[in-house]
Amino acid sequence: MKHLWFMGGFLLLVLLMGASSADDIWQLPKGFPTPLVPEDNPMTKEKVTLGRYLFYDPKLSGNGAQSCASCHQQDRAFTDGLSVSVGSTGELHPRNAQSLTNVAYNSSFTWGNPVLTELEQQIMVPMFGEFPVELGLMNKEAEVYARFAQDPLYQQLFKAAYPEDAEPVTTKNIVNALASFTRTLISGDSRYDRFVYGGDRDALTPSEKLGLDLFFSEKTECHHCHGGFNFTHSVKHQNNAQFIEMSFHNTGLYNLDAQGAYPVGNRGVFEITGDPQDMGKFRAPSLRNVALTAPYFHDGSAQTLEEVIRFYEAGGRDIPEGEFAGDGSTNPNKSGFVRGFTLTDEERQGLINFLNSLTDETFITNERFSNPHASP
Amino acid sequence: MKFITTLLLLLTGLTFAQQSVTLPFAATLNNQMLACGITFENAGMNNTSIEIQDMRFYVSDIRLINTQGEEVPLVLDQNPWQYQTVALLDFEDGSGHCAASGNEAMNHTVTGTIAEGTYTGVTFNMGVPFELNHADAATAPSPLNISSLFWSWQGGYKHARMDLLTHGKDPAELWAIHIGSTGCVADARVMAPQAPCANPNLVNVRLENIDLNSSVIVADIGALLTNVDVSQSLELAPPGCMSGADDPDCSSLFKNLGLTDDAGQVMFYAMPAAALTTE
Repeated sequence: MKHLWFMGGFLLLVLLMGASSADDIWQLPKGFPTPLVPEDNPMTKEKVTLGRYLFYDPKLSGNGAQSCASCHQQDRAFTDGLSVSVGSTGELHPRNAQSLTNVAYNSSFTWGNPVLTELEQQIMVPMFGEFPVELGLMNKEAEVYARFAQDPLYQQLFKAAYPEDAEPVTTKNIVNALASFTRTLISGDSRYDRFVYGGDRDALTPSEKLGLDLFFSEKTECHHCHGGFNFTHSVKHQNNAQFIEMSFHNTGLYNLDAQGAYPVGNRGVFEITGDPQDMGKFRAPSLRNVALTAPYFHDGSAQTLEEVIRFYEAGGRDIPEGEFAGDGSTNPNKSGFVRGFTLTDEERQGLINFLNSLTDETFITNERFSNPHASP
Repeated sequence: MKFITTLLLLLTGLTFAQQSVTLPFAATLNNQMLACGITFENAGMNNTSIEIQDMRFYVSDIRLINTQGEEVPLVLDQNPWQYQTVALLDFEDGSGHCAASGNEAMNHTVTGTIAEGTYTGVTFNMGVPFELNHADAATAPSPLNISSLFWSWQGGYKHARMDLLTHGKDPAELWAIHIGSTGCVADARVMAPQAPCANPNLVNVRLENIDLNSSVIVADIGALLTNVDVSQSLELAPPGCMSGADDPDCSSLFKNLGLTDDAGQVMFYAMPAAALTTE
């Protein structure tokens, strides 16, 4: 009997240890559902650690000039502050670097690609993509992977993450480790979260509360695309696994030919599907930490949050002259929610202040997400 | 040069006799064999001089046509160049400008076995079939694991990567030809594509009334470039044809590949091996 008690206690201890180790990995904020993880890439601490080292290591580029962190900097909520990013060989990307905040919940990846539905697929794009070259690994795997296979630190990290593998430095293992680390980049400790989930009714100022009311109002319609715990309706997690939401919207940024055309190379989902109805449709990104991720839109064509809000007030963007001339507000493909509205200066400032309250200082200073290679 | 080796394999019991088949391929421009590091004249409608920077394509679903007109599947040998029903043909050796995306290994033949019979034609697709096109490229077996042949931003593989370096301007410019599936979206848009892509862009080839024992299947890049201007790119970036449905650089190419009308493709044909210039 005593023996059984001992066994039971031991089992309970094991169970608790298991549970606490899962919690350690996610450290989910209150109100956040558990992310979905592909069956063939379960989360482990060892993969997360390896992924963190790889994420910050310029050795993971063809010419050793860039790491993932070059365009995804922690202090900018994992963006780079540029209108469009620059690849390892100096090539300009047509798109603005996206924040990695809460990407574990994304139902699709990049700005407008319904086919890229897992982080593991997306990571292959900056690694191997050629138009444009980002990390520039295409056809250079042997050379690049040898750098890791010969490095004693990485020998340990790979062995710990993939103890079964005799030669663990493979595309699959690198991708899985990067995906595991990136999934841990969860942000949910903004002042907004303290107000809503933490019960701290003083966490927001009156101006921010005014902005919050406007944000979730039928007047501005912001919440239709940027709603929910992650401030985007395009999310997946364990609670909605049966009904994953993935949506793309044309917000009226361009209208080159009066028939809704967007600039070539930046035509959104259309470039994947070829369906004219998908012209100019992009994913609504999460607005968490949005104050840190300027410039805005898929091509970084708005510099400030005020410019973005004034754009939605106008119900689209009229570009009077130049290469991209055209009135986006009359784009035939524009979302029905982008109709325009009027704000007082006080209301506009309230919206800006509210968006600023989504900044999570803990997230951008969290050591778990920082550069492990940094010299002391 | 070796052509078709026919070898009768009498199998035990009640199974039918099988014969082994080797199908030789060649890539040419104006009847010259394409190779890295050599300049070729008169490519495309403006007679541009070019070098190749890459020259690889997948073929799949290969069937031989017998004298009754029946199509009989060729069962591919399984090796690093061939997986299930797909084979990779590779005409670049990684030298010169081909170092950008290429490698040393080359492959000019498809090998397999087929039920014994008299065959007078062959049909195949240039490209990777849908069932294999959207597998995980990070773990896929050879030859579906080559990073320069998977299409990171779109999903699926490049059915063909036939990159040219064109001397229409100085310095020479890349004019890339990447043929692949587009419009790959599932009905519900929540998963990797489950329904075939809107534009599979698999190039169907059917060569009839040929002597398989003395013929080479020629991929004629000159024919592919009929009415194509490779001296410039009509669309600014990326230069060449990336299979975009509305990319002006693709329109004549797609026609020549039989992708836009019922006229069929003109790039592939069979010719007597003896007629090919080898050096």
